[in-house]
Amino acid sequence: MTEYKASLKRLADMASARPSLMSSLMLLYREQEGMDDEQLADFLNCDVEALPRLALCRRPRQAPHFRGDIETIAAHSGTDASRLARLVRAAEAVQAMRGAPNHAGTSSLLMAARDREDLGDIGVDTPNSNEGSKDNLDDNR
Amino acid sequence: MDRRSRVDGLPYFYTELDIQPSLAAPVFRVPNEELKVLDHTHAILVPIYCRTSIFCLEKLYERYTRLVKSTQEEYAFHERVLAGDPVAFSQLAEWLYSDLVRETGSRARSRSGGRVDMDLVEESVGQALLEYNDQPQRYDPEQASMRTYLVMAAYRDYLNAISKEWRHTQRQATLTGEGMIDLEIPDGRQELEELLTRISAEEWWARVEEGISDPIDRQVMVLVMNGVRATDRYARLLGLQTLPVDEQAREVKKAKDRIAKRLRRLGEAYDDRI
Repeated sequence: MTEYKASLKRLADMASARPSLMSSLMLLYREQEGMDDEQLADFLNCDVEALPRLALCRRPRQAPHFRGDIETIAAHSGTDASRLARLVRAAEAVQAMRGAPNHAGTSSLLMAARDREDLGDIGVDTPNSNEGSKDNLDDNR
Repeated sequence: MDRRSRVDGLPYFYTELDIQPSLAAPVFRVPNEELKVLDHTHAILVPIYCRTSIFCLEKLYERYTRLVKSTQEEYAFHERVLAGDPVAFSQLAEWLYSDLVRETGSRARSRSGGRVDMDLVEESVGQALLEYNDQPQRYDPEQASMRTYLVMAAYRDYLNAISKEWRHTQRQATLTGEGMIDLEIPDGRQELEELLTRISAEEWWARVEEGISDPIDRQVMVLVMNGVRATDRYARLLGLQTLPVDEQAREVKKAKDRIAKRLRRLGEAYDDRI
């Protein structure tokens, strides 16, 4: 009899219903951008195998922890920190537009504004440079 | 009061041991020079600390690890999850997930006579892990190792899932008319269903293990539970293959009746208690 092989991906998929975990934001972002796993991995500069590991990370806390959390998560999952920060902010903006409170119970748009400096520090385009951000996202599809 | 809040900067188990008189002998060194006393209870630490200055937290830690059930590694993960470390749960899941699925699977297999739905087991393990991450404070490292805690939680979820699935199948069978046929065959399913509507799956398995001690009978019950109708499946399980077919059917019916009777008794005993 072959031994049953558990897959961390399945756990990561289950985690998408948990707003406290990255998986929920990844799902939102993928839906919004119409990406599959391979495209998302391309965007984050990582292997597809790294996605479950990222999905099971706790969603980064807001400023002043945001930057540090993003860097920790990026190092753990082998993803690009600035792309990861962009994904988080984009997904939070989608959440805000849909009217769902984010995990911290605070307006995501407000948070995005508050964290402008944090994002700038790790090379992420801020709301003041929306066009650049869009271009970069498009480049990586 | 949360023990972790008693002394700032030290894991709670150090402080827990510090206040025990038997450990107050000045044989340990406290490396944390900025130890703060947050409440009156811990005033005891101050004189001990000031008088001797030679407590050794490593020794206390060693003593404590002999008292708690979680391993040092599990404990460290648990503390990080509690502290909101963004990658702790991911690392914990990577470390434990496959083992938990395997252990929960073998637990389910050994208790259900060999039949186990590994997909459902994996889903239950996932559920248990995610629930732990939602409310890590519900896990007490003094009571059980994290592995045991999670396997138990997953196994409970698994039992609830199979019982739910079974009830769903039964409802569908009733809707399609198959239930009418079932009514004519006294194989214990009615007793099972009635019992299941009154008690949780976990309680049910505990009672079944208590009330139906024979492992073969338990396996017969699992077949009944899964809606197996073929007499030869029961005959094989009961070792009746060598008998003529009509005799096999008679013996199988007897076994089913016997189990139905026990299940009825279990249900009655349960009702008497509540």
